[in-house]
Amino acid sequence: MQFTNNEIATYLFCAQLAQTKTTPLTIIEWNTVVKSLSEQKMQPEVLFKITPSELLKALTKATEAQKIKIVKKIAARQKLGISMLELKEIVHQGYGIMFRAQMPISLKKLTQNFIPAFFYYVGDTTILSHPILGVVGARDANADELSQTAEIAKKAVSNGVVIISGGAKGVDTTAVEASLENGGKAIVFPAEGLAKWVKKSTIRNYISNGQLLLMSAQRLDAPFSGSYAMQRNKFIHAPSNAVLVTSSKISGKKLSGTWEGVLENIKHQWSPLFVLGNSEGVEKLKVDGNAKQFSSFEEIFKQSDSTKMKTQSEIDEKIVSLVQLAIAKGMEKEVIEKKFLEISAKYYKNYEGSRLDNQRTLQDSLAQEQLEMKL
Amino acid sequence: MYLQELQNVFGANATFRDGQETAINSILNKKRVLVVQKTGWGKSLVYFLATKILRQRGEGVTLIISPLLALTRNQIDSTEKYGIVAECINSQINKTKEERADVVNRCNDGECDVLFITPEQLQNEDFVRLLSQLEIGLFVVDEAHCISDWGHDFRPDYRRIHHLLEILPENIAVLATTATANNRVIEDIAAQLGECEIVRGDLQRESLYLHKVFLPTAEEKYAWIAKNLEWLEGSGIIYATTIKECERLAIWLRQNAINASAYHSGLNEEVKIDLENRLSSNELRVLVCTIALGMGYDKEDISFVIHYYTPKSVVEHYQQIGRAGRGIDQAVCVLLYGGEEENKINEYFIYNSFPKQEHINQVLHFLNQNDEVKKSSLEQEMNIKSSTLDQILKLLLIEGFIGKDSRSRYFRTLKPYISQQSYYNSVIDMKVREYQELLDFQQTKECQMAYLTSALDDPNSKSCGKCSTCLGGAWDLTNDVLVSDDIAKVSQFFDKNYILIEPRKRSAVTNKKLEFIHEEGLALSYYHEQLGQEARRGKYVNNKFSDVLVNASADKLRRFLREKEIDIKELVIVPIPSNRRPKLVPEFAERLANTLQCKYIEILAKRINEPEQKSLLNSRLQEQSIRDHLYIQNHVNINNKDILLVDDFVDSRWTFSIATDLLGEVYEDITITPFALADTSGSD
Ligand SMILES: Nc1ncnc2c1ncn2[C@@H]1O[C@H](COP(=O)(O)OP(=O)(O)O)[C@@H](O)[C@H]1O
Ligand SMILES: [Zn+2]
Repeated sequence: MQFTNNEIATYLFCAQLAQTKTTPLTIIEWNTVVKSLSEQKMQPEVLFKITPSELLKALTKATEAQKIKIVKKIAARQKLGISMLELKEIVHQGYGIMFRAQMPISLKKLTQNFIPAFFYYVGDTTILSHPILGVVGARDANADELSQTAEIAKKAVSNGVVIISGGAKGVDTTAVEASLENGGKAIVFPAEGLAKWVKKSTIRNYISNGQLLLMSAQRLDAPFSGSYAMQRNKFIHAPSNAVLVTSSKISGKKLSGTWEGVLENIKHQWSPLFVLGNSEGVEKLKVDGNAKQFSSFEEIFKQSDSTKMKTQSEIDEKIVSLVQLAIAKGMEKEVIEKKFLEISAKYYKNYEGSRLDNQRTLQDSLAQEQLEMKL
Repeated sequence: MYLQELQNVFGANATFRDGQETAINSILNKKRVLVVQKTGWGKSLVYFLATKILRQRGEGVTLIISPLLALTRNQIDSTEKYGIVAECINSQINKTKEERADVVNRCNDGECDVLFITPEQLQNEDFVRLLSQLEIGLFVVDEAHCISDWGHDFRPDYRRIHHLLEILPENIAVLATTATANNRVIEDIAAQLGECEIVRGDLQRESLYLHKVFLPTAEEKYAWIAKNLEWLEGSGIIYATTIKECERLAIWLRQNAINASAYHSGLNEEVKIDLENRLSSNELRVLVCTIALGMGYDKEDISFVIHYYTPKSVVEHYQQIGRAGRGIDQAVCVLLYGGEEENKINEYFIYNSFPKQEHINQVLHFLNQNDEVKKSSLEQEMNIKSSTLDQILKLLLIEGFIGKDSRSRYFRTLKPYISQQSYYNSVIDMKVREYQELLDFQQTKECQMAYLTSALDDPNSKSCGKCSTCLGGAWDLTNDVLVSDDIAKVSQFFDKNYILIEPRKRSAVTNKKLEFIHEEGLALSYYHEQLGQEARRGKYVNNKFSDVLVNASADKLRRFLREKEIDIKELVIVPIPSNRRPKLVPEFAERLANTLQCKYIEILAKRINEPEQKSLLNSRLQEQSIRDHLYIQNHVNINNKDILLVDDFVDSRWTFSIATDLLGEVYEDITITPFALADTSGSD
């Protein structure tokens, strides 16, 4: 994997890079930087050479307080090119980096302020474009809840639905294992760095088989972090077509991770919620009308699928007739192709970012993608 | 453009040499530059002057990757001239983490402008983490032919440089320099640099006087060296490929009242730096070294470089003779060639550059099946020579197929394994071709300098008019006439020079200290030498060791035991048993006892079905197998005796060490001295 200057710049200023003893830009700061730059037709790569005063001038979208912080952080990292060896070696060991331009539409349901500048991953990223069932729940779910979870995960396999979870003990692991053991696919966003996971030979096997995708916004060797565990809830809720809540407490003095994630989902309306069992949280969701009892995959997934299919085939038809029209009008093949790419690029921008990169320069699309996270 | 800067340093009349200003200009524009220029052209001027200007502009420091172990007085002086400060990080002057962190802080605070490090250090994860804090403006790869020429096998350390070149952001300029590169190497380096400017000049060195001499035996080579070191003036370097040869040559030179020391990879860094310093300050006259001394070493007045063996390629050869005559007008470089042995040694190195695929697969398979694995478990699980296992692990690490955690446990990464065999083979083919180029050099009737520079694709290659080919009979810088007396002295030296058998001190199975340890023992010969080959014929052809061997052994043992103050009359000879050839060693040992007129007793025996020792490839398996099979069969009383354990060949030394361990446990107040006909270690 070769990186563009923009990607290297993104990594240099946004990655944790603890070894450099400097601080990365936050997501919000990074967004401000990219927006400001693009307003002046500049791209992240200018950050390598920009002087503090030039940068101050360029940061049109930043507040005064932000400006000072951003300038300081960028100046502190500008000359640390040696630290980019980390990026090279991560990839050398078989990990991937997914910058925003390469993120699939399912992740882009998150608003810009929640999306990290990049994810670390291992495994087949196309798993993200399958129909997805999120599974969340307490570590200490009871035996009954666990066996029902496993049963549903198993059925997901035969329905072509993949499981996404946080990789914690209990519900998360039960769902993922049931899917993988039955030949299904799964996505895990662990609360610790990916390195620890990849050292397990069973995990490596599932990844090499194309069954498992691990993703994380944390550095690879990060230890378990409670705050990141909270943050990652959205990576599970947002890309899911539906989320199954199997068991949850309600946050009191002590916050419940499962519950907080669910509340966030309700607030942002990322995906419909389904429940099983009768834990405290599950009961409340039902009472408040925020979730339905889990019924069957047919019911949950069919509807959204068929609408998607319909629009897809409508578009296909339209394209065919347009192309025919163009030929009839005597347009040249190259011109048609170019037009077609331009138009479809607009339509599918979110969808097929990575394929578009071949047509337009990667830099270009990256800068744009950074901005098109709004919704 | 930068003339003013140059004149500030070198005076009002200074001008740039051809290409220097172009190179500096490109660096200042953050471009990548490859400089191929001979030693003395002024490569360091390019990076020192560029550093000075970059620092004035508020840029970060210059990081130089150089095989140099320590900065010489010379180099520190020269940076002072430029008004910049250079430091280096090595295991001698800044060992501790804190000291190293201080250097990095000084660089970032503007107190230091140039930091030298060695490529090996880039392999150390802690060190790379520290370097991640370094603010740099220019990245220099000195002796850049290494990233192509050796980078992939002998010096895997350079692989990380390759990675850095791929990822360094565009605000960091890159300069690669070398004095020795042919077109292939230049293309390869340029490809690694990406878009780059190449500044290339002619390579011919005016101060070098080249010579070659055909001397087919070790005796003749030793004699020539002793004679000519009296003849030649000044200090110099002898290159000798193997560690044992370096050590023996150094002893020979010292015996001839020449202040010489061996220098090789078996020494630790401090010792090496110390030896380099002692040569620099003329406390030592000669370093006898392997390629471990190389490119970084920089002494102005090296007046001779002698090659005891033919190097493996023109690039390596030219690199090594390039150490000579940097600051003086005349230096002599002599290639001593001839003899079967030198080809064998080089071919051994060439064909063993890479591990066998079968062994690589074994290691990968095991790591695939497991989570995290210590090296000791790998050793236990598979029959692979420990040094080979190290090589495999290093290669796999560098290729990214495995990882190593902070507790030295290895694990498989997710990178799908692609066999590197065809790549390894192509490298080996290339090496064979490059070696052939030097074998042709031995025979060439062309000017020697012209031959070498044209092999390096120097477009301005021409006859030098000063090598022994150009001068013919008028060559008088060496004395090549050897008389039989010269050679007899060497034979005597070889005869007296003991090949010692050092005891093993620690068990490879339990990792505990061994209870009983034998005395320093003696081997009659090296396997590849004449007596060693005589022993080979005795074992594998005649099934009997000849009288020549018995007598040579007796002669040498008499002297050796006398020096060790062991009374031969009290000595008991005990043979090492073998079920495969039950008579061979005992019969020899008994004849030896008769000749020496001492006692002979058979005490030890072996259980059946012992695997052949040489089929076991690592210490753990070797030791275990001997422990499983060797035992005391005949309990005669040998308390208070001096024992001579006799075997045919010694390699891993486990047989002697375990036999000692067994005997020491049973008998009281004994000393045990091992003796073998040939030392076969390193000759498989
Ligand atoms: N343009 C120049 N003018 C004067 N002296 C120079 C110039 N370039 C190099 N030198 C001197 O030549 C000598 C050899 O230069 P050096 O950089 O050590 O060579 P290299 O690194 O190429 O072997 C040094 O003493 C250096 O100061
Ligand atoms: Zn000549």
